Amino acid sequence: MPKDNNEWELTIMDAILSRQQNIEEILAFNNQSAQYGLTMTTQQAIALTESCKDSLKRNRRIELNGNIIIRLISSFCDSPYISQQDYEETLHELIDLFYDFKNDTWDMITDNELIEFMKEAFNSNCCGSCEMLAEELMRLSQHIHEGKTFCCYNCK
Amino acid sequence: MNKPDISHIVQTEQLDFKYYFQSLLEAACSGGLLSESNMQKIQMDLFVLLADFTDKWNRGESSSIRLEKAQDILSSISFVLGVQLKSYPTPEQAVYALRNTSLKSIHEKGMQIIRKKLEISRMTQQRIINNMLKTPNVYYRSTIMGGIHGFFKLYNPLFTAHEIHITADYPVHIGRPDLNGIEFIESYLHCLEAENAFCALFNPCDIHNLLCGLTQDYQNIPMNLYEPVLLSALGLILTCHIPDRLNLTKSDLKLLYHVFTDKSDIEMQTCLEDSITGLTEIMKITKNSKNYAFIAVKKCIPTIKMAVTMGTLDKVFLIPQ
Repeated sequence: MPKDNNEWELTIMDAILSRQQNIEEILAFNNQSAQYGLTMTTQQAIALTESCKDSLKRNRRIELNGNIIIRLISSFCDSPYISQQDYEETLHELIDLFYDFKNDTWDMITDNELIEFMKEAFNSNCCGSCEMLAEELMRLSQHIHEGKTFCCYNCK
Repeated sequence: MNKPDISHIVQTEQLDFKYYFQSLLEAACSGGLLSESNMQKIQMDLFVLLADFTDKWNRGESSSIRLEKAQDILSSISFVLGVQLKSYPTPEQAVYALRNTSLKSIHEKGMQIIRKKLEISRMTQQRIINNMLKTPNVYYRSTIMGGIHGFFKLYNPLFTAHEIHITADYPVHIGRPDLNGIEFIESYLHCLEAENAFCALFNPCDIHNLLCGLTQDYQNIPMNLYEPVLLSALGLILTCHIPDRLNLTKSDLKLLYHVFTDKSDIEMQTCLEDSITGLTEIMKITKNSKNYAFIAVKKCIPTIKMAVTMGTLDKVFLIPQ
């Protein structure tokens, strides 16, 4: 075990554990998402965990507690803008947006706050468009970069 | 059948005291004291600890964390584990603990040791402050007061136990301790206390005059004050003078050239150690300072040797202004 270089250790551990857990949990969530006409195949679940892993790696983050995929599915499965055809693709984009903006907002917004914000925006002024959601998130980032808080952005 | 002698499988010398946990694992694996399954269990325990501490760090508000922060927390956890593992009499016993105890339990014990070290270090700092050498050297006072205070204010053993936080600009004579976190501060303060106690035996004006013999601007230089004071006192003992005024003369220097020319390292060391013993008979030197002086003189030998060769002994055994 290298003395100073813990990075490889972290990524290996994270990859092994999160992949196994995530796939099972995603598939188990089909029971709840099915009521909205949305289900995930094993292949799709695997693709989502890979996507999550890639996004974490690109953003130089590591996930040790909880499962963002499940939380995103749970929040967005009742969206009027998501159908079975675009379910997987939308989730891939939401995962990317989540981790990109978790970094871009300097970890000053909690997971719950960010997911709620994304859901609100996606289902209202973004009309189900991930591109428009990205623009909305950039405005939020700018607000944080100006030294303001998430609470006062919400109150606007 | 003879039992294999395992008592020396992991040599203490091969372990890195700065990164003890990591180096112990490496040595134990190479020595066959930890199996593949032992290592997997340790890695899993480490992962659980890391997850627990990152959750505390995030206050449970985020499932993910930046990699750099996770590495930082992992370094902190490793440091705390190392503190506890060092407390075992032998590395083999530490490895036994790794095999048979959860990392969480080892970490908790490590935290207790760290809290104790913090307490002890605060008391050491206070003792130094209560008897602090009066010197205009800015680095001396600012490090002992401001620097060390700063450490206690910033130090967070939960998440950054390995951090030193301060630059510790004032250089102690035997060298910057090659340690991390509270272990660095504890060792650094131990050196400072020994040096301060020794220097405080002398009149601050005499020390000032002595150091001006090196440079008038010593108050603005991050230099060690103890070494010139120690060597001046020892030089006076060697030239059969009373050491309390730190007032070597040019003719004393000629005698010192005689004393040190053509001497081997061992002879020089013996000579200096004898003069420490002589010094302790005249001045009330603490046990800590005496032990420190024995270590300190070893470090002075190459400097003295070079000065004898170059004819610059007056830069080592200073003549006061």
